[in-house]
Amino acid sequence: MFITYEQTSEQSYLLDYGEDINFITNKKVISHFKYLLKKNYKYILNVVPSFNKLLIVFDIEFKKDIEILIKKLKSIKDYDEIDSIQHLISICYDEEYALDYKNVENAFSMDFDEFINFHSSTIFNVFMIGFMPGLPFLGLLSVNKSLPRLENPRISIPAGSVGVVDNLSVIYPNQSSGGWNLIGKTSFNLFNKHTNKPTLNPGDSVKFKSITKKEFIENEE
Amino acid sequence: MKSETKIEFLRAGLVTSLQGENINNLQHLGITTSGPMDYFLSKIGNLIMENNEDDLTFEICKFGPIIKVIEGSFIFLISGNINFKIINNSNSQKGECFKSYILKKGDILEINQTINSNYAYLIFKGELNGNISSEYRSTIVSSSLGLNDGKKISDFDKFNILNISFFRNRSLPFSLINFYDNKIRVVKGPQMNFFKISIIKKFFSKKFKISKNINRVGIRLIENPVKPTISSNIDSEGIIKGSIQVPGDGNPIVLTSEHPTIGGYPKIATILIADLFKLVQLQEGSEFNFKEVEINVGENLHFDFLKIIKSIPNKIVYL
Repeated sequence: MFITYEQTSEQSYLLDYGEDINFITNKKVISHFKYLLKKNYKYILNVVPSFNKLLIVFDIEFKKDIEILIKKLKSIKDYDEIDSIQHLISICYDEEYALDYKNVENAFSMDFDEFINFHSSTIFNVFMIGFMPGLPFLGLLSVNKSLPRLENPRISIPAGSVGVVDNLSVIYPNQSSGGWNLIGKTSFNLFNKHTNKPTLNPGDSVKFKSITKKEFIENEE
Repeated sequence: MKSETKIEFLRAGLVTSLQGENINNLQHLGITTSGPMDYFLSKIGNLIMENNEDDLTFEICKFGPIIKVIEGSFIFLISGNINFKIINNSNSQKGECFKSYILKKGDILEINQTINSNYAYLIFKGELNGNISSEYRSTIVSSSLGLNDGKKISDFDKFNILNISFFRNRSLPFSLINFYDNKIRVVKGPQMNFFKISIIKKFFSKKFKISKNINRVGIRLIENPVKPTISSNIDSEGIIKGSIQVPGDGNPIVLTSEHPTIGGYPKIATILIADLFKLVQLQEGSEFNFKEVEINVGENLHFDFLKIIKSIPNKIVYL
């Protein structure tokens, strides 16, 4: 499943599943991530999936166990015993929130209405969560044109803003700084106040549903 | 017999926060491990007080709080190198670190500046009441999560502590100063190959200086830029405490307790757990060198580190 692995410190291994950011490679990462999550080994302190790598942080006293586990992991394929949830997320693409719609139009050579159809008809995979608590990295938009980050990142982006860079999309769970091109805003709660944990999990999927500004404002209230 | 103690922070201090066990098993959701910056001092302090080594402490950064005992008795010890005094009635007494004290109702503990260090730990006897969740055993100040609603201590915060009435004062008559030096050992980072050999040599041969940007998220190093040659970006991947990532300008960032969970900069090296707590205590402007060791050496040093911690209870002297 993974191509190579390396012990990167006294207490971590980094498993490498391939070079690119694509769905097939990430599915392998998520497969192993879910397997380790389900097994809940007490000597594993953290398992962090990303686009094409899996970081495993372990208790150093259990080095032998982790070595055996990694060898075993190599033969485990398509593990999907923990259900992936599909989330339907309402989004308002109004220009008031889509502050960078012009960048999108220029980079992808399509007008913003076309982009809205395109973005809201894509079923996104949650490749990973990170940078801040609950921030999902969603992909992939089927474009092969480049849309870079903003040259001057914004100092403050409101919570719920949806951004795009290249073929990836993110949702900012909290107000923060950031350099993604903003294309809309959602009132979907990325952080569950009852469980005190993020709502989305790596391996989940997301579909956006376009709503009007009026609906969005009513939703927010 | 259990009794309740109430304390009030008359002054919060610069950045005082509740820190205990690392927050594990949530990094895949973007939630960092947090925990004490100088985990050596917090563990030692707790062990002297016969607490569990990762029990809750108040982490003090550079300038400490003033605490008044409102009710009951407050049994504490300070692990670190910091000036503090105890005021009862109108008497003021200079305090000693690594020595326990019992404060009574009305007494005041005034903690001032750290000496040649950045962090110190106020260790207490008893169980903190309220605001304690099972999932989060530390505060993540940078993302407002965890203990105390994710907030650092504010002026006039009050805490209740359930404590046991029997306690023998004690101290650790044993200097920890030898454990703190400017020799910071690392293992190869996952992207060391992003750097030219000449740059890697420079990384180890020239001194780095601690910049003014030191906090619970990271420590910025300056005066020895080491620019990556291949690219200053990688596909973002999981990162850990002690990782040294290098952005495009070549000034490394050492990831500390509240580091982001994933990162997109190449990582040239990773600091050993047995050494990261030393770096955290180096003050702005301090200079130091990195030294490379093999992973198995790092593992052995880690076990030595655990042994030192485990030996602390045998060194306690009861007063």
